[in-house]
Amino acid sequence: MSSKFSRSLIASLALLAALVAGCSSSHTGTHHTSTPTHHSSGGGGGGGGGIPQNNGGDHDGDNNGGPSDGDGNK
Amino acid sequence: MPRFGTAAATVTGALAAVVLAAVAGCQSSAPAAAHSGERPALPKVPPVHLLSAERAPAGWHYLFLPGGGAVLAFPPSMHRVQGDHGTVSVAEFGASGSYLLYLNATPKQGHETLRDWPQFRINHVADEEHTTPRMLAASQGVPFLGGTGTCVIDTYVTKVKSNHYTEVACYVQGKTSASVIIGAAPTADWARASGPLKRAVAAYRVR
Repeated sequence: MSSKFSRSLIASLALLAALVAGCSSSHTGTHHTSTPTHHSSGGGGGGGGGIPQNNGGDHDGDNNGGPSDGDGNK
Repeated sequence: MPRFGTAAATVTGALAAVVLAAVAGCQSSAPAAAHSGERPALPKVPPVHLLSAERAPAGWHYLFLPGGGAVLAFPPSMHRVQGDHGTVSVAEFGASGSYLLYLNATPKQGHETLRDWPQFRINHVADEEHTTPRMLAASQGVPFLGGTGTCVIDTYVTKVKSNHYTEVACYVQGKTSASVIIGAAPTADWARASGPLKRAVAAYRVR
């Protein structure tokens, strides 16, 4: 009986540990997908892929101190 | 020996209760947005107060987006200015050459959606101007002529010349296309400029 008791105890503890681990890992995934990031804007921020400022590139007003347009890039 | 059986049953039952409580706690703490079909909560800012969608006043001018996905209406004091290929921009300038009013329409180019537009726009302006824009208002489900939009009002400072602008920026989904309309003015003039800019937004037609 005591060995049965030990087996039940160990099995229950293992189940509890597995559930807690699964719960915490699913929360981590949710946070990763819901946190907006600086690079998720679809634009050309950083990295040199955008149009240069100071009258560079397409000479948009927004490269010369004008209002920002609605594009997904510079 | 029967005492062992009783003890085992008691401990197992207690552990089962703990397991069930842990599972219940895990499920209840999951964010509401994870449930399918729910809109994520907008940032905690007031709603955007726009005019009802309606045709532009008599005397206003119109410019079609190349491809015909949208029509930008603008007051006669504004005239077309240079912008990106495939977009239309109009502006009114002061005597010193500074912007008084600015309107721009651009076809969808990135991964923006009706749901994430306010934060998308803030992130993009931050990328572009290397400043931290401040979101003042945001609304989803804004009616447009021919479609529905999500709008945000924010302020920012340009990297070049450190100009302060306030803008209303809307992502608008029509039946066959999606586009962005921007109305901007110097922040110091926003109280006066927001009237015609919001009127132009209300007259923006998408297809």
